[in-house]
Amino acid sequence: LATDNQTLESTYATAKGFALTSGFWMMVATFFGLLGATELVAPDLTENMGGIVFGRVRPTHVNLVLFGFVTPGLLSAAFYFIPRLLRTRLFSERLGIFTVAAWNVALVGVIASLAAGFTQGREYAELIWPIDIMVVAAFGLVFYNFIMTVKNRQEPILYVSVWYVLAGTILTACTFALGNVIWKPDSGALVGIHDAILLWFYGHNVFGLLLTPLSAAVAYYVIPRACRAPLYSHTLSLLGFWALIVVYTHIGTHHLLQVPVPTWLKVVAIVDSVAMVIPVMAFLINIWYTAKGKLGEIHADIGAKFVFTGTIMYFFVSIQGSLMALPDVQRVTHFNNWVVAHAHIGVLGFAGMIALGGLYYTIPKITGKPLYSRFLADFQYWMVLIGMVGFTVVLTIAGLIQGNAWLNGETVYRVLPEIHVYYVVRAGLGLLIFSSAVLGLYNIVRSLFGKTGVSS
Amino acid sequence: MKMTPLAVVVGSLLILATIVFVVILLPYVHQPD
Repeated sequence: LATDNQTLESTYATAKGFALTSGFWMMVATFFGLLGATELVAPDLTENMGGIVFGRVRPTHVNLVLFGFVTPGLLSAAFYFIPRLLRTRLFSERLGIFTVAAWNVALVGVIASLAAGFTQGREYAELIWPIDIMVVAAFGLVFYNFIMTVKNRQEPILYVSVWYVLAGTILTACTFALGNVIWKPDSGALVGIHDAILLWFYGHNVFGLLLTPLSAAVAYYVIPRACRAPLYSHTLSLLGFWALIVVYTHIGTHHLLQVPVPTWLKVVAIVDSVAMVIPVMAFLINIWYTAKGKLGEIHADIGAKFVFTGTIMYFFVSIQGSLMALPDVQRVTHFNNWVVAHAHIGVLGFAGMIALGGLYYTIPKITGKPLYSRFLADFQYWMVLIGMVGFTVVLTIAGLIQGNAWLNGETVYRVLPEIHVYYVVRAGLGLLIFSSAVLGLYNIVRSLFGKTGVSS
Repeated sequence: MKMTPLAVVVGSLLILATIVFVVILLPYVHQPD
């Protein structure tokens, strides 16, 4: 690992830009989540308000969480640690700032286009063609900045975090272009079953080739640094990296077990969903053994605390995901709120927690002063943790009620009164998460622009 | 295994290309009429 005593003076303008981007869009994204949850409790609340009907609010929430909050948060940390791990400066801070600006313009475009009803109607690929092009270009620029930094490096050995960031950005540029069918600007889709196969190849790889590699990169950097310990195993990091790319990339069809796709493709998806235990446990054993006996150091650093909690959530969401790919399990759990609970453990509990941890670990280093408020960051940690675990509990219960009722032949609308109370609790927890995002943005802004910080 | 930039980037892209061939292109060309 690069050490603190190197003289690598930098403004870290790109890292700061992505930190602000992440903090701001977390607030907006969680507001849309809260709005959608409220509409599920009180569907008439926003009737005749076309821009914010549930069908437009939901994809806005999902896209802003993925590309507004979590990805920029992870990239912010990456723009700090990639130059440090390579003992050089970032290739171009100017290009980085341009990327941050373009990224934010694209996010404004996401809200405006979805609110206006412009959608390609494919889950995780709703965005229209001009925004697809901007997203692909943004990932291309991020990759170019990183690979040129690699080219200028003083450190001959690439640390595992660098592998994950390079692979995550270039592979996402490819899968995003492919999955959004950008060679067909009018529809952004193929036709029929083949479109479903392609869509879920891409949809699952948003997690597999973007959020997971970038989160792993941040964890591989933050945990050894916070523990002041070398990484447990180079071999495990190799196994985890290559197994992730080989296995994760072809499990998307487990979203289509109810669809007449070729049976062999379903079998591949199910078998490899179970095989995901290899890259997941290779990564987790490596991180947890690195931290073994050093939990005090992790508890003392709020960034490391977020990141370590994220790795625990990664364990839960991955084991759950492997089980959910089994047809007998999916017969109960698919198409209902169980899946929504699973998604929140993954994106908020795992990648979101690690994104926040990356921010709170690196902000004091890029500003040269402590966080504005360690207390607010800790308070946000507990709000996010309680909110996320609460989501999991109530949505899992609601999902099991729905799934079992439907298996027994019950109609959808007759089950709705049964799950109403869980929707009310979910909206309350959504308010908790939104409030935590407001506190987080305040803390990030004061940390970046305030004159002094406090350490407690 | 030496993880050079070339190994990381080209290796990852080759794996992705292989998997796209198997799970996207093969089902596409073998679609029933």
